[in-house]
Amino acid sequence: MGPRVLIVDDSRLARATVRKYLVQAGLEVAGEAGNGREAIELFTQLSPDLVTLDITMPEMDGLTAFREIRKRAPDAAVLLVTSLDQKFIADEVANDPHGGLIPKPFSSFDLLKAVRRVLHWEESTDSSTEA
Amino acid sequence: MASWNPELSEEQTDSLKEIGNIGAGHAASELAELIGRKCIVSIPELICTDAAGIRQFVQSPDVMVVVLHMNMLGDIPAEMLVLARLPHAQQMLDYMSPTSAPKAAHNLQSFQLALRQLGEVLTRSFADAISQFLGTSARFAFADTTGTDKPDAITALLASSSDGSGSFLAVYADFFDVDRTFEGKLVYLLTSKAQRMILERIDQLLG
Repeated sequence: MGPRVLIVDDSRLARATVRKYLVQAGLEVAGEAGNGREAIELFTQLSPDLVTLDITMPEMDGLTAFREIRKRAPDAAVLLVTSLDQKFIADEVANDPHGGLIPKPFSSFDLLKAVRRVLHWEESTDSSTEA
Repeated sequence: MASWNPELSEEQTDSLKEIGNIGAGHAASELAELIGRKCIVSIPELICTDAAGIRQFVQSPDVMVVVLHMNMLGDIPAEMLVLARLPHAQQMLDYMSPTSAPKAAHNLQSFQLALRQLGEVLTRSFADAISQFLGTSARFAFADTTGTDKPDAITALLASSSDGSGSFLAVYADFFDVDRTFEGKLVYLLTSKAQRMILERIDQLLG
């Protein structure tokens, strides 16, 4: 099985799109959440390898959830997935080796490229090739 | 004013809201770039209404609301309303051009022209994002501006919106800067034909 992912978005359409692309690429969906509060609960329960996190959500927004996840797990791979393509959101993950941002809408190719980056797949693939 | 379209399933409602989220998020990001401030959007809402309902929707009892209306042509014909209270519209223009923004009180024509340009940028950004997601194309007609002090003008703007049934679906979201020095509303108006086209396209995309 591939890395386990927690998909967080208040939109079922957005979750279905992310799920489709990631499952096609061999990732396993560990769980799905519709707001930041649920995301933190499920993150604690499931310890996923990757979280995809929308920003504009009810109850708790994605940036607040991201900061909470970072307090609990500084090394967790988290990809912010948002239609708000703005500097203040990009700055949140700019110096975070395990954080990334992908603007909506995205292609399968772009999503997987971003996932690879936060999971450091390219480095591990390069290492295994060299070995 | 009706607040729900019983013909839409929960999934369809969710899909149309996400379309609104993608469009409004991009429009807010474009605005943020223009004015150099953080801009965010509310979670989109959806209502089924008619021209009179939209008039009620945009009317404010004591403050004039500036209305920008734009036809979106192309694969999925739709219409966009950009609404903002007059001082908030002025604030957005002031952020864009701190020293030379036209003032509504001094030069209404220049103010309306500047506002129209801003509305066009927001609408194009909204439509481009949706088109990118759905794999469709969009074209635009020229925008019109008016105010809620001229309710008949708003009805006239919306006269071509409905598809004969007299009603259409409005997907709307608030946009504002983080300090709430201004706020506005983006209203994406869809006929039932446009709704069907979007929902069919989403079904195809999800396979």
